[in-house]
Formats: sequence, structure tokens, C-alpha cells
Amino acid sequence: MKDTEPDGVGKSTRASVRAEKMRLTVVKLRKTWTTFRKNRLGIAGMIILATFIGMALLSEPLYDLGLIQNPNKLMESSNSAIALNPPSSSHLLGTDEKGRDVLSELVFGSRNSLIVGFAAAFITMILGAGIGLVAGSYGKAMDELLMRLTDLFLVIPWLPFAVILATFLPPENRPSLFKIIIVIGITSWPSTARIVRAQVLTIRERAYVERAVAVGSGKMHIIGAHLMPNVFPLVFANGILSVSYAILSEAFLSFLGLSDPSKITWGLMLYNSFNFGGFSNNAYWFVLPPGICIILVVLGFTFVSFALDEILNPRLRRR
Amino acid sequence: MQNRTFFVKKLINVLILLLAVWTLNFFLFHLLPGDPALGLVGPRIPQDMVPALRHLFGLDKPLYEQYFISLGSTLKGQLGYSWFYKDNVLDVITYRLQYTLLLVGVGTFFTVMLGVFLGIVAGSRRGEPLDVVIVGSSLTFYAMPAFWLAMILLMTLSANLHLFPLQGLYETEATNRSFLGVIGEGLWHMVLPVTTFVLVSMSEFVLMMRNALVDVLTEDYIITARAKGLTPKNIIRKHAVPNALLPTIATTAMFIGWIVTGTIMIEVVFSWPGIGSLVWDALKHRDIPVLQGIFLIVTLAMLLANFAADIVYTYVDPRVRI
Repeated sequence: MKDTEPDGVGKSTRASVRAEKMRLTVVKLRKTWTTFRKNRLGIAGMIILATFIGMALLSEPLYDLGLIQNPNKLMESSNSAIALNPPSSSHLLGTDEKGRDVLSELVFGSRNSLIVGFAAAFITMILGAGIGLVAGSYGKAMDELLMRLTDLFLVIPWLPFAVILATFLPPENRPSLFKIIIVIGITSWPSTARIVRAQVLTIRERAYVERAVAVGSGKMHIIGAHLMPNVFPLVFANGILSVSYAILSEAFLSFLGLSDPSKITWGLMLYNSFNFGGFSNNAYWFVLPPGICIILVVLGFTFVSFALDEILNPRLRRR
Repeated sequence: MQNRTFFVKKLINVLILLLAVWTLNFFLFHLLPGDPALGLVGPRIPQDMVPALRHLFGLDKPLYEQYFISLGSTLKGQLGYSWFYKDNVLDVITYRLQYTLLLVGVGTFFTVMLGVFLGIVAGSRRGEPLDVVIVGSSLTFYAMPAFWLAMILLMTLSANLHLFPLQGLYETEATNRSFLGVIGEGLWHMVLPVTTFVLVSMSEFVLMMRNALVDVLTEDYIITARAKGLTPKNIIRKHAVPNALLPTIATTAMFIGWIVTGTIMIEVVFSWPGIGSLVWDALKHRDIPVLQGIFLIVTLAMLLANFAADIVYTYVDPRVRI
């Protein structure tokens, strides 16, 4: 179609259409932000998340400044002389069972925990949105097949399944952060797929989609131009909630010893404290901080997701 | 008549899902790099004995034949042979299962009771301080890793204040105990695991019940009830709560997965001799048949729970049958 258009006219019209679309998007985003700003819970969540994301981003600079140690590099070394020391001026949050600074572990752990959270949520979003879109827009046999698959993944008990996957996925016998991400991603997409499919089914019946079909648009064009943009906000709000699930899931899997012992995460810190003396020696300074961080981050993502949900679901706004 | 077709349909669905999970489990095991035969006897076996072993275990047969042989023996109740315990997997699991069922049963009872109660309290006082406190604390417990809460409770209440025992179901040293003594000791050891269980799984029910109640309270028939001059207490108790309970039942089944996850973590921390500790031990010894057996048994339990919830739901809400 593009080729048949006279060059000059087509280009300028298309450019102005694009500009108008951009303007509308900006207006819409600004409106969303105004509503979001009024939501106190959402703002609280944003502040919490900004703090932790800032902490994760600043871990390298802080290390370069010499303010904290790099536990990833200290993973093999151990200094038993200062093992499990309570908080002091040189170690603000004390030390762990190998004499490493707990505060440094916490800062570097935030980076890995958030990476796992975002990466796993991204896989969840892609898989969930993809399967939901295909099931909803192709219908019939494809829908039936994909929805049965979704049902299957919904009823499978999460932890035993994740444990099995983590033991079976290659490289065997070698726990890795990447494997944890994959495992969380492929176990948590079903709810997203369901929500996306339901949304697609309602959009498909709208007049403009019917019109597009009448003009002869192909399936891929309808998915790309009409369905995808309309389900994206929903997928986004859901994806943010998935990050909080993923961070909790990482903690569970790490606690069972399925994570890479050389890549510090909050879950791994709790695993270490439970298994190597921190817990039995009552080292509250080592046990409390990672747990509190997990709770705060999960709450932060949950609050932001709730706030977005309220904006995107006008039905909820009256409450 | 209509009822029966509904049940049959649901039952067939359960069976199909069960077969699908079993198949997934089978192929995962056979895609496992390395030889399953070596898992049982250990890697130090002479290389020339491996083919004989493979023949003995039937691993040299074509995959589809192994599939049906394996399916047949599962149906006869054989879930394989534990590499670590050197015993039938089903026996290993059923022995541990009773302790998990005890913990989950007692825990779920208190969870539902307290959760629904607090949900009603919060939902009927929407926006008041009590509502904010209940919802806030529910969200916090919801965001808490179960094992972390277990660790904190153990450190404060058992290790520091010596209020509760540290682990397990019984003190191992004590031998001569009366029957009541055994029961009492068991209950004493159960307090902390059950408390942890209730705290981490309750929030789901509180939030669900509260939101359902808030939803129901905006319905027209509530306004009618108010117009009739019913007291707010009566409106909540007779008109709102029964209707708000419906979605709570329906969604309960969906959270069984998270409850199982929480239970496994709690058992690990308290050394409770159930399925959770078995997962922990099996992971430590790479006892893959046991892990797979647990996966199958827990899935079966979840499917049955879902099935039961569906059936209960059709009785309390006849609309779904149509």
C-alpha cells in the first residue's frame, strides 16, 4: 500500500498523523499522571521503589568511593576474625558468618534481586501477553488449546514445580541466577494470559475492529494495530505486580539453595543466615534487613500496581 | 440430571489435567541430562555394567513403550524408588504427608475463620482507622516471605524468650510419656508453625472478603434493606455477608498453590517432619524421584481441592450450574 501512494502527499500526511498520535499519547500520559499523583498509596509505592532502584544503581559508584565492599568479589574470601559481629561504626549493619559487611551485601543484593524481578516479570509479560493475544484473537481450536494449557499451569502447585524445573534445566547441578529467572518466568504467565485474553475478547467485538475486518485488514494487522495497544496498559499494570511476585519467588527458591551462591541476592542472604550460623547465633542484624527490604519492595510494587489498576479500570474508581 | 453432567464434565477435566501433569513429569525426567540408571546406583559403577542396568530398569526400550509401562505402574500406586531413602517413593511421601496435613488442616481452619472475620470487620468499616490497620497489616504479611517470619518468630519467642520449643514435633530425648503428654507436647510444638501459617496465608482471605463485602454493599438490594429500616448490623449479617462469601469460596481454591508454598517453607524452618522438610532433604541429596513424587502428589491434592471447591460452589450458588 505504501508504494502506491504519491510520495510527497503521503509522506506529509503520514507525518502529521504521526505527530497527532504523539500529541494524543502525551496528553493521555499527562492525564494518567495527574490521576496517579492524587493516589497516595501509589505515590508511597513510587517513593519506595525509587529508593531501592536508586540503591541498586548506586551500588557500583558507592563501591568505587570506598563506602561499601563488593560482596560479589569477596564471595570466596572469608575473615573469620570478624564473623557475625554486631553492628558497629565500621560495619553499620554488622557482619555475616564470613565477616563480610551486611550493608554492602544488602546494597549489592538489591541489584541482583531487582534484576531477577524485572527480568522474570518481563518474560511473564511476553509469554502471558503473547498467549493471551493469540488465544483471544484466533479463537476456536487455538483458544481451546491455549486455555487448557493455561489451566494446566494454573493448577500446578508453584513451588514443587519450580523446584523440579530448577533441578532439570541445564546446566544441571549448577545453580544460576539466569535459571531462576527462566523458572519464575515460565511458571507465572498463566494469570496474565487469562486477563489479556478476556480483554481481547471484549475489544474484538468493538465497532472499529469490525470495521477494520470489513476493510480487509489481516489478522496480524488487527493484532498489531488494534488489539495490542489496547491490552498494553493492562499488561503493564499486571507486569508490575509480577515483579513483586518474582522477587518473592526468588527469595523462596534461593532459600531452598537453588540460587547461585556467588551472586548475592536478598534471598541468598537469608539462605546463608539460616544455614551457616547467623540464625542459630541470633544474629538479628543479618536476618532482619534482607527480609525488611523484600517486604518494602514487594509492597512498593503492589501499591504502584494497585494505583495503576485504579486508573486503568474506571469501574474501580468509585470505591 | 443437569447436576450430574456438570460433575462428570468437571471430573473428566480433572482427569485430563492429571494425565497432562503426569506426562509433563515423565518427559522432564527423560529429558534430564545424564543417565537415570546412574542416579539410583551412584556414579561409581563400572562402565561396562551400565547397559545391563539400563536393561534391568527398562531404559533401553523405546520411549513410548516406557511411557505406557510407567503410566501403568503409577496407576498401581508406584511412584518410583527413592535414590536416597532406598524405599518406595509413595511410602516415603505418605509417611510425611500426615504431618503436613495436620499442619495445613489446623492452619487452614484458623486462617479461614480469622480471615473472614477480619475481612467483615474491615469491609463494614470502610475507610475507618480499623479498616486501614487491618488492610495495612494484611498487605505487609502478604509481602512477607513465610520462612522469614518463621525465622523471626523462632528467634524472638523461642531462642530469646524460651516461650516455645525450637523445632520438630517432639523432644527426641524424652521416651516415657503418657498418651496425654504426647498430645500436649505435640500441640505445644504446633503453636509457632500454625501461627506463622495463619499469619502469612490469612491476608489473602482478609483482602478478598473485605473487597467482596465493599462490592456487595454498593448493590441495590442493600439500599432497599436500608430503606426498609433494617439496622446496619442486620444488613451486614443477613444481606451482605452471605453474598460476599461466594467469591471468597470460589477464589479460595486458587490460593492453595501459595498455601502449599508457604507450608513447605515453614516446615523447613521449624524442622516439621512433613512434605516441606522432605523437599529440603531431597534437594540436598538430589533425590529426584522423591521430588517428582511430591510434585505429582501435591498436584493431585490441588486438583481434588479445586474439584471440591467447584462442587461446594454449585451448592451455594446455583447460578453457575446454568
